[in-house]
Amino acid sequence: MTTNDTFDATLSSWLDDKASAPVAREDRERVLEAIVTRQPRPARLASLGSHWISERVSARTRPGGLGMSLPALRIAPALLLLLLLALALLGTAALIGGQLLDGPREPGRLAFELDGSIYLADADGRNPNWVAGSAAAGRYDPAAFFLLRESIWAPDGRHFLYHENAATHISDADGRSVASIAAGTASWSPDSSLVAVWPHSMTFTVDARIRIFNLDGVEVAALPYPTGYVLFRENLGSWAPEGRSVLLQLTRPDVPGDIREVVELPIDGSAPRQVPLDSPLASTDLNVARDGTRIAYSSDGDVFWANSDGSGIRNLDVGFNPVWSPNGAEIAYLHGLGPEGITSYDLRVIDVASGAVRTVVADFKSDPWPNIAWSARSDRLLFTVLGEQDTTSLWSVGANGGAQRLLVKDAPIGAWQWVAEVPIESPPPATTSPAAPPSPASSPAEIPSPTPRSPVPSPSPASSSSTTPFIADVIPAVGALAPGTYTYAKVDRVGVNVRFTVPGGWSWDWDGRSLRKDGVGLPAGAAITFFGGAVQVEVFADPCHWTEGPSAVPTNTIDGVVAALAGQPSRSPTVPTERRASGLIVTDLWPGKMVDLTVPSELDLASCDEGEYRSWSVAGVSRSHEGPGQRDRVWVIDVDGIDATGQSGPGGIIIDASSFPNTSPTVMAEIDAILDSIRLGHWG
Amino acid sequence: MQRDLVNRARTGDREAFSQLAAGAFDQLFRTARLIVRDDDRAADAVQEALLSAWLHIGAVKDPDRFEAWLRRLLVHACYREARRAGRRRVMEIEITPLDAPVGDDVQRATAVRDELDRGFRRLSIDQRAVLVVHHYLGLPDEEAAVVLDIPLGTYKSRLNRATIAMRAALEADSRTPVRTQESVA
Repeated sequence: MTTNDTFDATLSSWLDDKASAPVAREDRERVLEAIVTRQPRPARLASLGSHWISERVSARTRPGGLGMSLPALRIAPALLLLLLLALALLGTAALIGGQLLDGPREPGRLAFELDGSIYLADADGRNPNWVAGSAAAGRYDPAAFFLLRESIWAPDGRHFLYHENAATHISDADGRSVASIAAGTASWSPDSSLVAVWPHSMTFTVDARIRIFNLDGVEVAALPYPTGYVLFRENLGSWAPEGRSVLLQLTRPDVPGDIREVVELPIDGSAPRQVPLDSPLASTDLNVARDGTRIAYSSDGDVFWANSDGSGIRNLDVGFNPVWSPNGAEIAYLHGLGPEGITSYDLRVIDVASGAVRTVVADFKSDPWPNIAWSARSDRLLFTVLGEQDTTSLWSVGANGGAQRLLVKDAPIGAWQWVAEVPIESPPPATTSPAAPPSPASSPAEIPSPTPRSPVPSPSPASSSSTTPFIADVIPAVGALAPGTYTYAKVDRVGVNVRFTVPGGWSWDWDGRSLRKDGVGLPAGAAITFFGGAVQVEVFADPCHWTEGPSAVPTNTIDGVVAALAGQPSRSPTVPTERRASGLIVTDLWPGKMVDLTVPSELDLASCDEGEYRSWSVAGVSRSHEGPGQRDRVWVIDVDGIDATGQSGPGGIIIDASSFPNTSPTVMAEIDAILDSIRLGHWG
Repeated sequence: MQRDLVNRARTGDREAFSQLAAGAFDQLFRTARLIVRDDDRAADAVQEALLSAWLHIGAVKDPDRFEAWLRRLLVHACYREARRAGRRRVMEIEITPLDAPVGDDVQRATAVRDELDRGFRRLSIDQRAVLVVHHYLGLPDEEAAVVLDIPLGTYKSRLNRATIAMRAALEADSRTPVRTQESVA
């Protein structure tokens, strides 16, 4: 193996050999069967082994009901009663040996997925009502919680999410879809007012944005990754505890070693912040207590809890997937068993005040994504169990162990609704008296608190609102602007909003499209101007003699517009560069190009047509330049796949940052800062 | 044939999808086996990839890209498997150094395979994935980058680094007694 060719050949041959070991027949059959079992099998609702004993079928049942014929509906209860009788006679509890159908009714509802359909039932699994998913003849439109897992119900219990027909649906607590948003892995903000949709690899769509939607389905923000970053493996992200930013697990492809980095992106579009990897916020298993004061998380195989600002860290136990009880007194988590430990777990609960750990369910098997949740009263836990047929079912157990109940057979994912009428007593944040860690956990380890969030000036009166954190920015009015973040909505009515943050001394110009400073133009002013490109962009062949007509270069594409501008005489253009997603301008999603142009220093405006130096016009608005030496950095940006000169749809946008020979370095830095702050998107 | 099956599956024809899944299973499983290095977890990864494919087959706009799309789902499922495994503590295992004298071709071939096996285990899952896509699936660079969901330039540099890492692992293996970290990733 001394040469590359030999090495490659040897490696290829070895991989072939390694891969060619026979595929176990049972593996093949198990997997393919699992696919098949996700087909609609509505008859299961009446089959033996189902927990359901009610024959009541919701009026909301899809056409054809749950697929059960009337006779089946009549027979089902009888069969199930026979089953229960048989179990009683045998003295055998079902599967895990728990009790069935006893105890007080839990408040709230259970949402679960079964055979590609979504159902709502009582918390104990009874009275299932179909919500979504279709089993119409010859067609299978699955609805799923597949991408949601632990973010099905909103924290306030008023809504839940599910997937159907390539969209994520926001449903009210009765199963009525109230809005549809982009498909993808989604999670609720801690205050239940927003849903973040994380980019996902399920499709070929490269959508390197986190999209934030409100309960009306309106996209209120689209946050691109920071420049140069991509998703770190399959990790997605989570909401920061205060619900004003999202936390992303990213990596930089140009840095060797596939190093994980965590970046916090404020949803108001302000600057991203690096999160130290030893911060609790860097965990991929972050769970916020209902009162918002504390978090639980896992890191390097251990479970911790801390105050939501990252202080007061307590190392609890070996485990993962920690979930706070609604009353904030306990944390449930999973403890993997054995050296392989992939599908065998203990379900454990720790009392955070005393540090006492108890195993609620010992050594059970689950699928690779064990699903655990607390009941609204904090007295029971929902968990998933992998059965003998390799199907996963929903079970519940008392928080002290015992009273195990099968909730829904063969339902792989489910979640309990939290209901507000259950009194919640929130203990105060524990900044002192650390809980005694159970063996073999180590001593509490203090790590630096997260850096305080950078203050972003915002004059928005709504900025303090926890329910509308983003969309209420002030739309600039003509005149001086106080330092802050603003939105220029619907630029030239093309449907694109521009958000920017300005320091002091800038104004919104009378033309309704420009930021200006220091006397606007020559010799020392500055301006940033926004043009919507809903109609044809016309680039003049010679800006000084613009009446002679447009450039011969077709300007119906971004490349064409930039090439035509760069081709104007004596403009000293830079080479047009692709600025698809730079930190300077906007978004990874929308491609764009930038060119840096200068008005010839020897120009005599009086020699130009009508005394004006015009470089282009958009929507009938000509871009006239002030005079010699003016520098224009021009970005031409596509929007929604329709280039900057699109004839229909939202079209594109052109941003022109102008400065002049005597513009001060301070103002130049302000221009750059404003450009850095610019975000484009559809919201509001 | 496959194009027809994909089109039918996109309309919800489960039999068509079952045929696609059955036809693709062996190669998917073998690919996953190489990346995650465990048959059970490979089966889990394939199952997850196929489930994802079934749930999202409507996203396949070009039936001719179904296979590439499926491979991409599989690679991501393998990553998820690795992520799950990463939740567990790393354990150290003793591996007996292979310093026995090589007697004949068979022994030598065995020794090389063992070296490769150990070297491969030492790679990160990203590095294993890129080597599998390149050397086992033999995909062109452009398609390999799509399957791995990374830019072409990143793919090339990652392949280069993985090759170097593999060589380094083999050289280290041949020089020193081995005590390696095994994360079952």
